[in-house]
This record gives sequence, C-alpha cells and structure tokens, in this order.
Amino acid sequence: MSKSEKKIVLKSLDNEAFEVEKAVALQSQTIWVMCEDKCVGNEIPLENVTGQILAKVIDYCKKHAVVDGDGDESSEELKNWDTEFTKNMDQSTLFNMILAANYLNIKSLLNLTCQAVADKTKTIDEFHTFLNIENNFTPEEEAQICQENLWAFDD
Amino acid sequence: MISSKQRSSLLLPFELVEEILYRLPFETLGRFKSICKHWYALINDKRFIYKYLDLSKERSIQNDHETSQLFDPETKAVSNELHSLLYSKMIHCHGLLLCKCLETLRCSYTMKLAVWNPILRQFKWIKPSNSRKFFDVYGFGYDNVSQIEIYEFKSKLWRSVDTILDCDALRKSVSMNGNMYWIAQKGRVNSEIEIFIQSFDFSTEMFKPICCVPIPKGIVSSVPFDHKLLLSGLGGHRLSLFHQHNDVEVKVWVTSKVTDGINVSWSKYFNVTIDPSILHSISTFSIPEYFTLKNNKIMLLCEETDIKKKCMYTSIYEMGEGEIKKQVTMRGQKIWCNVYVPSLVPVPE
Repeated sequence: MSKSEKKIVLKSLDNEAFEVEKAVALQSQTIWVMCEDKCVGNEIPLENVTGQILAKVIDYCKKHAVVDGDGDESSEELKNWDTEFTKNMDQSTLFNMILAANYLNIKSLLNLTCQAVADKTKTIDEFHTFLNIENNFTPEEEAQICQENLWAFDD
Repeated sequence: MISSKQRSSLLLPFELVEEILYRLPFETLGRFKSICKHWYALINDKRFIYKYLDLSKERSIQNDHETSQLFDPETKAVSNELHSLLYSKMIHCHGLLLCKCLETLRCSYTMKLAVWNPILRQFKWIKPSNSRKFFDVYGFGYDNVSQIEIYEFKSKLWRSVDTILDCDALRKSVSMNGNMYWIAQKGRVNSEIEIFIQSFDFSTEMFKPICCVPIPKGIVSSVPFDHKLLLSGLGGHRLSLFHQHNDVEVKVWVTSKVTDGINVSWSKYFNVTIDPSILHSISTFSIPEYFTLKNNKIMLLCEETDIKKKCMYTSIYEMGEGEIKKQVTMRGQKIWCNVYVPSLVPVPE
C-alpha cells in the first residue's frame, strides 16, 4: 500500500479539510461503510459536522487508535484522557459531539459524551433548560408522582 | 444572539436524549419522572427498565438490622442509608433481592420470605409453603420470557418441579443470567466428600451439575472447617470461586463461560497470602461475601472485630495477585452483604 492510500481526507460542513490516517478514521462505522462501498474517493464529505467539532472527534480517534489493545496501564491512562477530554466542554459542544458521534457511528465516543452530559446534569431545572421540555403535568399530577417516587427525593 | 444553552435545547433528537437518561444515577432518574408525560411513560416502560439494568454497574449492599448501604467499587462511594429489615440471607437477581427473614415471636424464630427492591422501597411478603422447614434452600431467577417466578425446591408445594437433585448439601449460591448456581456437596463430613457446582435452569426447570471445583480431592474432607469456599459471578457468564485455606492462603479461580453449557473449566485468577496482622477479619466465624472485578481482582466484604474497643464493623478489601488493600470501613455491624445492581425493576405483583 502506498503512503497516500493510508491517508484519507475528511471534509467538514464548513469545508475544512482534515488529512488523517485511515486507521484513525475507520473507527467511525459510517466512514468504514463509505470506504468499503468505494463510493467516495480519498476525500469524504461529512455534511453534518462542523470543522470545530470534527477536529475534536479526530483528536479522540487519534488517541484511541494508538493506545487500543495495549495492557491495563494504558487503559487506565486512556480513561483519564477521556475524562480530561470532556471535562471542559460546555453543554452546546457536548450536544454537538453527541450528534457527531451518532452520525459517524463511533460507539465509544457516543457513550463517553452521553455519560458526560449525564454526569453534569443533576437537577430537573437543568434538564428543562437544556432540552426545552415543557412540563405537561397538572400540579396535582406532579405532586402525586413525587409522592410515588419519594425514594428519589432523599438527600 | 441566542445563548449556547438555548441553542443546544433545539439540537438533540429524542433517541439521543434517551441515551443520556440511561446514564443517569437511579435517584436522578426517579426525580425526572415528573418532568413530563412522555418521560414518565418512558421511565416506567419495561424496555427502558431492562436496558437501564443492563448498563448499571455492580455494587454491593450491606445490611444490619435497620439500615442498608450500597458501595460502589469503582468510585469507592458509600450511599445514603436505606431502610432495611432483619434478613438472614439474600439472593440477588435484576435489582430484586429474595430475602429470607427471621422474625422473633415469643422466643421462637419464624422464617419468612420476601422480595425487595431497596431502591424503589418496594417490598412484598411471599406466602411460604405449608411444608416449609427452617433449612430449606431457595433459588431466585427467571425463565426465558423474563417473568420472575419463585420456587421452593424441597417442599414442592408452590408448584412442583420434576427434577432430581443429586447432592447432600447446597452451600453458597449466586443467581446469574436467570439461573441459580450453588457450591454443592455430596458425601458426609469425614468421609469422601465431593464438591462441585450445581445449577438450576429456570427455563428447563432442571438441576445440572456443572463442574468439579479446582481443589484436590480429599483435602476438604479431612479438615472441612479449615477451608472456606465462596461463589460469585463474573460478567454475567462466568463463575468465580474463592478458596481460603487456614485463614491465610487465598486462591481465586474463574470458569470459562458456563452459559455455553459444555466443558466448563477453571483458570487461576490470582493467589494471595493474607498477613494475619492486617486482616483478622476473615476468621472462622465470619462468612464474607465478595465480587469479582474484571481486572483480576476482587472486592471482599467482611466483618471485623476490634477486641480492645469491643465493637464490630464492616470492611471492604480489594485483593489481587499478591496484594490486599483496605478500601472502606463502615460503622456498625453490617452482617449481610450481597452483590447488588441498582434497578428500577418493580417487585412483581
């Protein structure tokens, strides 16, 4: 295999191009299928992901492509890296990462980002705000549900 | 300009919101039922409850006479105290515990059975069979259509099960993947004792010997009280055996997949020698519980006695090849420990 065949170009929604190792990109099942079908050349357009988010996804894939398959110590290191990776992302970035992980079909990244949102969301109010949900219970109904689920309200 | 929070609220499709919900702690999820009708229906849905269970991590539960506490081996966090009753023995399955309870009435003990979900605080007595005896053995599991049912094996009065149990005693047990596994014994003490793993399959309603234990024959029969054997599950498909000899030598073994049903074999997980000055707890009288972690380690929960202060407490130790590390000490005498996965599975009606 020549050097150029090992590399692949990913193009974001806003036309930013990223040249990456094939092994890195193929962690995305979506890209895998696109490559397998040979329906694309060496350049893959990703119409749902912005350059800013794609750069982060690639960082993640690079880290996981290198370390995967090694012993226990590196899996510990990888876990710490994952924690650091999502630690300072704001809600909007995390949601965009979830969407990208889902679109690109990278299971471990989807798991990581969903877990990060779950860890950062502790109150009902936060969820109302983030997800724009309208409470369609009457006050009586809401009180009854709280009564049924008293176990969840102990602090 | 719209803020990033407002913008993000428009982004996520519901199936991805659901993915986030699966990863919330159970207390938060209980609170979120009151968010809206759609979520209320979702969180009460059987499909959601079981997927949530699949993604839940193993904890342990410790009980004393009044309270229970959960311990998370990953974060080493101990939960708030939950209400408890006096249980002498528990078997865990899908976040439900089958409890054998002792009730004292005018100086005599009565044995009662109950199913309990400590998280949902749901509790239900099971009417015991008329022919129950104090030393009856119970199992807890489910058949392939995942309907939970409970059988009493000895009296056969609830619903008779047409299967033969060929052993003299069933000792430590674990419920895994809906089936029961016991350390079983054939032969009397001081004679030729055979120790093996016995299973009960709730789908076929059959007992089946799985394999012998990896301990040389004859050793256990000569001095049975110098050996301690405990059983636990690993990853839902494998069994793990804890063997402690003379309170000092600990060997932990794991099986190949028992769910394949053929040629189950043991392999060494780790060996460790206990320094009696560190660990006085696992003495002859306390029967610890443990659970098997994936990285060739276990968490052992046991009772310890402080002779000077004349008090008892519960400690959790992490053990691996050649190492023992104390993790947590809990106040009070949490006598009954069990592996437990927090779940929203309701106690069956």
